[in-house]
Amino acid sequence: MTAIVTGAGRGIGRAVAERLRARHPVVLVDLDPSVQDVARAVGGRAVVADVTDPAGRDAILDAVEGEVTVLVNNAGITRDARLVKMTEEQFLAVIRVNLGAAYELTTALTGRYAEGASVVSLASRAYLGNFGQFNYSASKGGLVGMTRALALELAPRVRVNAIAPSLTASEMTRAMPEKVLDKMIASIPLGRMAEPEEIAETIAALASPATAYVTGQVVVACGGRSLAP
Amino acid sequence: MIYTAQPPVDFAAVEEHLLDAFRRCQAAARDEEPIVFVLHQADLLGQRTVPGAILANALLSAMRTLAAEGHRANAVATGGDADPEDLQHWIAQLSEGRGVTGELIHVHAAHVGKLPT
Repeated sequence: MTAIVTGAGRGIGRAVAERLRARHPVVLVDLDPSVQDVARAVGGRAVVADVTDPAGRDAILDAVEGEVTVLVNNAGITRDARLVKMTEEQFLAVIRVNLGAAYELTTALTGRYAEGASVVSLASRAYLGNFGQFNYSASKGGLVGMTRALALELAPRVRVNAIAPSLTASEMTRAMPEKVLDKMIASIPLGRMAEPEEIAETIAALASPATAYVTGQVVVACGGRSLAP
Repeated sequence: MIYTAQPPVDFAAVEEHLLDAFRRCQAAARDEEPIVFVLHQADLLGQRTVPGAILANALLSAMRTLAAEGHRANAVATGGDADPEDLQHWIAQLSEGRGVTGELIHVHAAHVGKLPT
């Protein structure tokens, strides 16, 4: 009985692994070898792997003992540019990491999910459309489609949901110019970014029996930004 | 530019279709040409195949981002008992690129009572 979290080396992924550890043995996956230190701190098992590489996904499958109770597809990247200036490399890199790897890993585990298992994928508010993110938005929309189709295909044995966060405190947001960040925060009715731990709580809830009757849904955890002018 | 989503069999095909859409959208955006995606309602709801649902929803999100970037981009969702002539009417309307952008037109009633798409 194992929970798998991709992109678990930092931020939301690490925070999710910390929460899931209370109920499940956890496999923490990341391309960055520092995930080994994180796994030691969390009390889980680390797999240093590239989720876009079939060999990397095989390593994840090999590290799982018994059935999978939770899969959190969190690994993701951005390569932002307006469409007219975006390169094919920028487009494909984001599609492959954010969407292709999640699809391939989720479907590779199809025969290994426990009864009542839960898959949660990290979409984004950007799936509703976002300037400068044609690639990212498409990848997250694709995850929403995957969530809906797999929710139907894997029911009643496995629940499949997604969460769509907005601006979340991270190394990336901390590196943004203060004026840009302040302007983005001003568009959030709750008046602040999300903390990774807050998003992780919602993911842990979607992975728990507390939401046993919820499947095929997207929880938009954006502080109200998707409603604001 | 009218882009009709074809049913993909696996993720390699999804990626191929998305790259094709990326290239055609980029060319259309540079030429300031209106863009219309033709999607299937069953794919938007995930009722057919997983790759089909991925492609349709990826294109829908891409369309909304095109609108956010100031381009005339819309989509029609066919399916249910959609009349082919009605579908062509709405594709033609949206291809004119007048006033409406970022919109999904359902040319049927199969979306009623389902999740918003």
